Amino acid sequence: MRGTLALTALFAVAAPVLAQDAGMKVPSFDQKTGGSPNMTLVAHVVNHPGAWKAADIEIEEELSRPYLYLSGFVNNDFQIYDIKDPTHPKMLLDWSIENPELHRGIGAMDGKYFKIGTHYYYAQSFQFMQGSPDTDLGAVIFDVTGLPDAATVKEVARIRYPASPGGFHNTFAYKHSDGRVLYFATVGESKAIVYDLAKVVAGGDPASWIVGDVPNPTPFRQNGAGGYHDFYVGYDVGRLRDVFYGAGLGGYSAWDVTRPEAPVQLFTITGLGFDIAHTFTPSPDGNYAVTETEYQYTPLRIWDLKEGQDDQRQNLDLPISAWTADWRDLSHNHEVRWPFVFVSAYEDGLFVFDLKNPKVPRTDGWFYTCHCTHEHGFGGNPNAGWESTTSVEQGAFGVDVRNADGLIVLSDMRTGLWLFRMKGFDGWNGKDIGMPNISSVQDWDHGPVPR
Amino acid sequence: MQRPRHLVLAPCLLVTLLVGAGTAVSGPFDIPLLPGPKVPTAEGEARLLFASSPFGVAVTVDGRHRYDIRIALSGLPDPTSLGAYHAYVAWEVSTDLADWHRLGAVQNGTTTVGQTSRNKFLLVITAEPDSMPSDHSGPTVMHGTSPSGWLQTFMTHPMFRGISQ
Amino acid sequence: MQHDMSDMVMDSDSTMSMPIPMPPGMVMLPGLVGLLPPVAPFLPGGGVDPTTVPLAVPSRITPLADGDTLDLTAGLLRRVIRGNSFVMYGFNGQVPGPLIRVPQNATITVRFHNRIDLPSTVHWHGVRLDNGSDGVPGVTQDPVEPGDSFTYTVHFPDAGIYWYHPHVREDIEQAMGLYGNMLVDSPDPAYYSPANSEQALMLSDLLIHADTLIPFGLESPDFVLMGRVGNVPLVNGEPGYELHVTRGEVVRFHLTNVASSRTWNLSFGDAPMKVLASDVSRFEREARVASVVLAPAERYVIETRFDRPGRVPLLNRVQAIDHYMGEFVAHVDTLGWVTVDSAAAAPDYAAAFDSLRVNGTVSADIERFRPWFDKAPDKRITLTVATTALPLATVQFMSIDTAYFHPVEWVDGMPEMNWLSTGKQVRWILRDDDSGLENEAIDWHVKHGSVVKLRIFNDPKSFHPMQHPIHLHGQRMLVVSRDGVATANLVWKDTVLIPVGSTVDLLIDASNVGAWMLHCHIAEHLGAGMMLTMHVDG
Repeated sequence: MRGTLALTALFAVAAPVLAQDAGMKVPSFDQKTGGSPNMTLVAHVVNHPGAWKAADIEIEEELSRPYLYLSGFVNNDFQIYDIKDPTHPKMLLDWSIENPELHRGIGAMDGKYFKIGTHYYYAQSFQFMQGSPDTDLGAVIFDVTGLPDAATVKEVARIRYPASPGGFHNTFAYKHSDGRVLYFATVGESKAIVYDLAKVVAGGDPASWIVGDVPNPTPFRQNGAGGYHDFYVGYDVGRLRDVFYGAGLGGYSAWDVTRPEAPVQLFTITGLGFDIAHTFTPSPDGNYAVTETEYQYTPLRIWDLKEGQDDQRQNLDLPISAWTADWRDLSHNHEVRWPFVFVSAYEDGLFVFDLKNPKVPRTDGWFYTCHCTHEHGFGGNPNAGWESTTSVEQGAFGVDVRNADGLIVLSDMRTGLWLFRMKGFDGWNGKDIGMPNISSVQDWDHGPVPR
Repeated sequence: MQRPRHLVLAPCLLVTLLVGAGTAVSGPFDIPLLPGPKVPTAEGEARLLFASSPFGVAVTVDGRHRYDIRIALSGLPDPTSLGAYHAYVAWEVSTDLADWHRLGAVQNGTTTVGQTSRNKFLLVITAEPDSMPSDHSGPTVMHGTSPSGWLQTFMTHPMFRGISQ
Repeated sequence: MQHDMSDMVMDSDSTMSMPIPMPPGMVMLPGLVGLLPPVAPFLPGGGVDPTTVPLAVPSRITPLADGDTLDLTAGLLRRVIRGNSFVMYGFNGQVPGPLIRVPQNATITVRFHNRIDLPSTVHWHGVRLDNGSDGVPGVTQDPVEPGDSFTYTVHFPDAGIYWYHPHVREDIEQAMGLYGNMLVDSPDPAYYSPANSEQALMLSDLLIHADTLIPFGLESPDFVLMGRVGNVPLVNGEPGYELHVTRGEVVRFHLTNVASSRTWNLSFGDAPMKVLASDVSRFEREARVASVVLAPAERYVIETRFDRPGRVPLLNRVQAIDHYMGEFVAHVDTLGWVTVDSAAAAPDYAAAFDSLRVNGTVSADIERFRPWFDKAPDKRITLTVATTALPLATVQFMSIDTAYFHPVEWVDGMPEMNWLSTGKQVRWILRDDDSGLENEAIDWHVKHGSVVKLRIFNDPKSFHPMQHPIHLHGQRMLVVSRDGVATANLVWKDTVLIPVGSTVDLLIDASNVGAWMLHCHIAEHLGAGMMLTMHVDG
């Protein structure tokens, strides 16, 4: 056990040194302001007065519905912005959980919008500690069809999961190839729960909302522990299957969820340094992936998944490359719009790199949003009212990209809401580059199977 | 190995919540009180004291600890400055907020109010029209959580996220 | 003082690889699966055929007068618990040992014969006797080797309920059955409020997996982090206590906790109870109680009136912690039943039972000590622990587990992790705040007749914060305050429960000359060093 930890630490330090973009200068921390010449700041909104402002961010895809959703983190709220004029985001609604000051935990974490029929919905996930109200609350679902009229936004359901207190840290709304709109949610168990959102918004018996679950094959499972942290679900056009890409304690695993009631394991990524798996995002064709592991100094790693996808190897353990914004820090969430990868890089703000050559990632642009003092490790407590942290886990938390026009939106835990455009990136459609048009953006009306 | 010196904020780790320890509570019987938005400069702390008992520890018949609650407050403005309120009242509240039990009126300084025997509870101080309200109606001015609130599932703990503190 | 058994001969084919019984839903940490405590296993008898060992019999009341002599023999015996036969220990073939009933101020002679397979002694718990008969190896006598004998002179200056037990490897010998009560009768027939009957209950527990006793550590105790908490509660050595009473009968119970580590919270259904006395005296005032909290080695005298026909359970009701879910869980042990007949009790003591007596003589006695109540502490100790070489998973878990400190750990939530901790890795500590000395290095000297204020702080930030029942030999003491709050209803004690995080001020009546131990009465904590010596100099 001690040997394992020691080797993990060695790997964690060694990899980022290799992953730093060749030729890219790492600025001193006090010089981390502004951005690269190709990155245009469209707008910045300081959305909360306190030290902590936002967790994740979600933007609707349709240009006719110019709305974005900002999860309020420990403020226990979410905000809806009208970005019809992206240079002047207009807050339409700020919704808080009842008695927000009495809730304790990291609060409003992840937001996902989805569409069923003619109605648009938004699901806000929450995480409250035991000893706090609503420790069993996973998400609150709103009908947002009537936007921009905020008065028409109505709560339609609350998803609770009392079997494992602590709520949903991460969620993913997915238009399945079978036509259902599914909602994947992390829980404090060694599995992800899959909900049928049509049943959720219809009400009725909450027990009937659950379609199934996707196990996390972690050795910690014997404890009833070792759940997923994050996941992505995408249709594999070449292999004709819906695939769940999960990251959690123990590593990464891919599952065929064409029948979400009975997931079938495809392959795993495990190995030294990958046990605190955070995020697992594939390329549009499922042949490559970007992964994040959550500890200081770790880079994003790039993987060739083909041997795993094609049942030639059960476990992958050697990435083909790695990338980091700054080896001293930690990069966080990312959105893949192949070959570009948009990264919310904690203390380093927004970074974009490309995988034109997957073995040689190249940084394309950046903008520093955190405006914070460099920290180290993990620590701190936003609920105890402190103004500073002792963790590198500060700054840019979430990022999203509107495929229709390439608008980049970013949430920064310290500084709030940011909107950007990057020169040369005016939108994304996989077909333009010979790839399936598969990303986190869903085709709610037609589903993922190419027509 | 000592307890972690800091609370862990791990907003993007596996099913993360705050993990308790050290700095948040100054002792096993202390409840730091946080100010509500209407009284941002108020400060306070509550201390749980074992209720009187012939035995080494005071418990209910089913083994829940019985505590007297002593509350120390400072920086509270005159309640009338917050609206039509004339008193501050302390409440022992179930964690689902369904059950509010009035402990008693409090003010700046130290007050020993009623007794609690809940395993986990919130301690909430509200501004109220009078000192003996039957239910809470005014704004929250201070709030805290019983030390037992730090009990969390294993999944929220660093060890089970694979982090060695 | 000597509390090791490093020269013991071990001859047992018992195995240490058996699974440890876990609470429902609890599984082992991955890093602990397959590990064994770093001690050789030990069980009484070394594998002797149980059928060759005499069957234990229940405790017999043994009245003794001043000047009488008792032969007390510790030996192997066979006990049948839940249908399984185990070779264990007992005094004079009885479990509990003979209930010695003596008048106050009597002096008796006890010829102790050690016929077990370990060295042993007898300690007369709570009795303010001559130091030479205190039974502490290395302090007042040498251990009595197997086959040897030792003669004790036991004087009983105080009325009440007391108990005797070995002071060598209590984690084994006491747990295996070497314990018995001493009931000291006051010459005052109205010493207690009237009762129709009285019962002496000695509460313990036993750790069993299927049909097998969980072995003990040979070189040092195992289960040292929180002490061995059994999964089979026992009353007077049996898992199912039964008592028959008549309707309205007032029963006086003399309760003694002889468990190694468990603290009980006892009640008789919803039958009304009042508490009369504790270790070394009556309370200043009788008090109505809903339950009785009984830490290891403590005694309480209570009375209960069974006013309705039917079956009344004897319950231990506590709050356990589900470490996986992070929640409290109500835990109930049914220790036995009281069957209440429909016939009415005679005489009817209902009126006396309903009133709460004020014991003026107790208050008057205590009043002499009141001038010292607010004095600055003469001695201050902190309760803590040091560890080394524990499994990494244990270290990690403990760092998590201590995010919240339950003032009293009522049950063992992680017994297999606890099992793996031994006296080789864990040293429980009494630290003198003034000198910095610890445990056996502490050698206090106080004057005979002095009143010593001792402040004990149970450090909540230790590696494993848990409660400690602290016992002082040969003296009596008052708990004058807990966490700065003065005690309203005083009683003389010899064992005091110190919850996690609490600061307790004790006033010691240093009335008995000699070298006396002060120690934690969790047997495994004592075996892991948690003891010091206080000399009362004449």
